[in-house]
Amino acid sequence: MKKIEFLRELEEQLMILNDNERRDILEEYEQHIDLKISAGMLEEAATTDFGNMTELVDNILSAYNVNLNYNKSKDKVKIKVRMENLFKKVWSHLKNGCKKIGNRCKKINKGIKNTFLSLCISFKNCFNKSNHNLKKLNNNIKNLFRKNREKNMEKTNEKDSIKEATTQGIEISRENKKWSIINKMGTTIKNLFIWFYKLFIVVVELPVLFISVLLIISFGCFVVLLFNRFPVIGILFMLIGSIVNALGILLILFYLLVPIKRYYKVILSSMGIGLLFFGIGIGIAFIEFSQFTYGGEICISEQEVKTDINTFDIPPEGEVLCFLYGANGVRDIIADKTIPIDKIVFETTYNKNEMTVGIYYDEQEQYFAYETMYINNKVGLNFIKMKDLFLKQLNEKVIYEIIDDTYFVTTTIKVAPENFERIVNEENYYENEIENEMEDELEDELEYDIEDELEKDNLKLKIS
Amino acid sequence: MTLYSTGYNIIVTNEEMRIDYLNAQFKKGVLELVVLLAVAKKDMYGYELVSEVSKVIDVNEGTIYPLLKRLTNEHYFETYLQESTEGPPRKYYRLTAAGLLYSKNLGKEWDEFQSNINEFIKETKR
Repeated sequence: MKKIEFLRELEEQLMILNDNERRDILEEYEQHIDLKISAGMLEEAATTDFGNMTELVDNILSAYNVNLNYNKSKDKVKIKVRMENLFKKVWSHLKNGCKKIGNRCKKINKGIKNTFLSLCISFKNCFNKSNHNLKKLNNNIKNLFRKNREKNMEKTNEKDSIKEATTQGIEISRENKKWSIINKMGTTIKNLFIWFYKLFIVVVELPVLFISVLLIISFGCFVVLLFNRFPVIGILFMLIGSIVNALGILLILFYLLVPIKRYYKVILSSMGIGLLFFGIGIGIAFIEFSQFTYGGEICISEQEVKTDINTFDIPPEGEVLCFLYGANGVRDIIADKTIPIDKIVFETTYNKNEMTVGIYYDEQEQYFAYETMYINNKVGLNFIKMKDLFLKQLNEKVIYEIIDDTYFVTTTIKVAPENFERIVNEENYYENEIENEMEDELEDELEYDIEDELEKDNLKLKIS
Repeated sequence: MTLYSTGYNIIVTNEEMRIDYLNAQFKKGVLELVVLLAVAKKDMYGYELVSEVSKVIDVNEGTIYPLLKRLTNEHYFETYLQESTEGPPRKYYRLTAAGLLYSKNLGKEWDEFQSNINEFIKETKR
């Protein structure tokens, strides 16, 4: 077995141990093998001296008082191994795909791989070096303190010992001075990476947390509705399923953030159950709501409307221009005999909670139009209206088609029958006029061009 | 293949296997003492310790590292890193006060045990 294979297998077998401990063991074994190889041993012989892999693992684990029946928990280990090897697998898949494409791709792939690996190695070396140096520094300081302490405890040759220690300390600090800056940079970069990773997970986790809290709140609301005999069993099932799933996702994210014992198996199975609940909920909800009937349109604002009547004089001849385009505009133009010939009557209906509407006459341009004032909106009111409607629908088992027209304005124009033809309320009245003018101009230009050319021809003829 | 062809051979192999097994047990029992004494003499790193112990008893390397780990976990050893002239820094093992006491007790036990056994063997040879 090669060194890398050996170490990888050992790592997989020791997944049950804490990350730091495992790394510690692996480093030591790696160093041992390296030393053996440098002593002139073959790589494969160096690993076979460790004997049977399972025995070795048993020996190591027994040093940690681990239950040797850890094979039972291999599934957990497998999941962890899978997650950690995911990157490697993805890489190998990519590589295989590239091979199929052709030789050129192969070359490119090799290049990419090499650069990537060299980058990885250089990063790793950088970190390792900084780590080692830090550890060295720490240990030196620790040793210094320990020696100091021991010598103090002995209480013999006190002064000499302190002198020695200080001189040693100075030497060590000189040695490490050149490394200290690189160490600091390495560790800060590493810490930065770790912090970015954690921050990213937190950023992902927060909305999930928010959603799950909302789901739980709505679950409580629907439980109360259920007790009031509303048909919400399906919705409740769906909510239970989605709450379980949201909590599962939260926990998985939390595991990525904090090094604690991980129950991926339990969580994944519970999420499966959550999905099952969700599906059952959809089925029940479908059957519940299929019993509902259609109740027609409902306009929320139509319940708070107000109607104003405005009367204006109109001239005896010519068109009467009205430009009344609100949310609903002019509903009707009615010929009414009771209205005198020189009068026009506007009946305007609008939502008094949202705005006040009047009609004014523009004397310069000579047309009628809306004069609208919007009242500051009460946002909460809408929500409550929607809620009431929703509950009403649920309770009566009726579905309304809801039109949420908060700026609800309609007008009915009443005039004497003689004036009926004179009322103009076209939305594109002015546009039409402009188009007409444009067409006229174009025709003029064309005629002008033709005349010009004819004159030129005449001139040419004369010259020739 | 011939080992299992006759009854005689089977007896021999069984005996060899038994001796091998017992030998391994002897080594296992005494390995802890040897390791403790080796480290008591001088602070050592893993590879050095393995080669040192191998001089005395022929032992599988795979068993020494776990033993070191266990002794460290039980606070008989403590470890520190030291720079080497070649390669990465090495992890040295040092005996603690508790380890020293333990090794002394264990050595005493061993002396008693082996003298008893030797005397008994001498007696039986007479």
